[in-house]
Amino acid sequence: MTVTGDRHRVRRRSAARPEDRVCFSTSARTAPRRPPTRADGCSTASATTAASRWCWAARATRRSRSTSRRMRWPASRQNAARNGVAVDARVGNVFDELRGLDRLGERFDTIVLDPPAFAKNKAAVVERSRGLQGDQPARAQAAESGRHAGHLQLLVSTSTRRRSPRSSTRPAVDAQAHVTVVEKRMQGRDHPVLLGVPGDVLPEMLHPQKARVAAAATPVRGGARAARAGGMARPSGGFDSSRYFRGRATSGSTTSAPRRCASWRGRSTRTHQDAWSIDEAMAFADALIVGSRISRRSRSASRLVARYRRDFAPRLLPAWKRWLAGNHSANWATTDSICGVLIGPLLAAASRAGRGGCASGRAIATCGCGVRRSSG
Amino acid sequence: MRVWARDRNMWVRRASIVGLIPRARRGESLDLVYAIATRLHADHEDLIQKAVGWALREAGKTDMPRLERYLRANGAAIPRTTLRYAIERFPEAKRRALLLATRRTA
Repeated sequence: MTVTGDRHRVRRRSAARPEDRVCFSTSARTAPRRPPTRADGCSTASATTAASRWCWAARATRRSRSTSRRMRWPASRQNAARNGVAVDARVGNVFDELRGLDRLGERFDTIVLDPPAFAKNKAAVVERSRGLQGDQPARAQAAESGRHAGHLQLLVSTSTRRRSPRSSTRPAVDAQAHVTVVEKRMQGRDHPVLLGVPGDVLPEMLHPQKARVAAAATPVRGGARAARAGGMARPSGGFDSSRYFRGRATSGSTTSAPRRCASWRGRSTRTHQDAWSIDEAMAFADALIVGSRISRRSRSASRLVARYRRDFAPRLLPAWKRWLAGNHSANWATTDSICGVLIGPLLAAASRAGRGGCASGRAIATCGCGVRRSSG
Repeated sequence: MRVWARDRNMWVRRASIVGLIPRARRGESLDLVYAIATRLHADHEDLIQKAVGWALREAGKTDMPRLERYLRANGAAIPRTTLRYAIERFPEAKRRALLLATRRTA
């Protein structure tokens, strides 16, 4: 039994009994040696085909309103019918259900869980006291629920390499549950490097020959099907992939000495912060940013200038525009970083100054957040 | 920012709208946001269309009826990427209605 495609369609590929293999395991190595007699698949339609005649399935409905509409289980029922599997499908909070089943003494050999993908807002970034962030509480809860399972499989979506896989497995280790990393996939083409997050640069992307993570196995597809899928694809047209991914030619010394560059910027700033004016900081940033296509230096330059935000003036805008127009680090993340730490605060302060006071209601000359009027 | 929105460089055009997002989020300078968004609708760059959609979505957080009026009035000219970004915060029914109402006729 295999899981194919994004639509969670499951088909039988061999004459083996459904319960002989675990559907999410694409490799026999990762599957449990002992065929599960009971499996618990949660949260996805394909999970309901968790290769057992005793499969129990539920949806993790933390965002219940959005998911409950999709709770008709058509795919699940179709999959189950195709494979002759009896599925007990339920709708509810899967963690509550698991806790309830645990209290009832129910045990499963394998639990397949797909926790909520990302923290959607700040409120979801909780449990710092336990050292957990974002969607990790859900994973921890999942691992806790699966404490008595023989195997726990988590389908984890992470946007950054840094968060995976250690952050995924740590909660499970705490819960003393077995964790199987079935497959690792990297970011999509429209999910580029987030420059504002340290350590988010994927070395595998820049230097594929040095990649330590093996590429995901490409499923063998029929020629006709591939041709049909190719025909449905949007033509690339004038798409410029360098806008999303830096090639070797443009990466410069991004990976050569990033830590040294950052520490040097920090040292310089600390040494001169009190002595420098905004103009001197801008001159330093100009020297830092111009002539390079190195995003880390661009980020360092914008962060350096951001420390002088109290002295921001509209006369700085042409310089920032020159940075952007110079394509010194041509990617959306750096552009947005410059907008976020430089242009945005300047416009906000200018808006307050235009109203004759700051948000606190005090006069602009005394509130300390003021903008010096442009002389030009 | 209006001048930046006409710039030849894509990153400057993107900055012209992204730089206004913090203010749009607070309901400030909405006239400017909508004016620049209108100017950038003809832009074929996907990164510009996404940025405009993002800014419109933020503008809608404080004045959703205005955003809806704007989308209905300019729907045919708005790229679908922008539109879909902009309507993310609307209820599902309204989102579908807006997608239908702003569909371009061949």
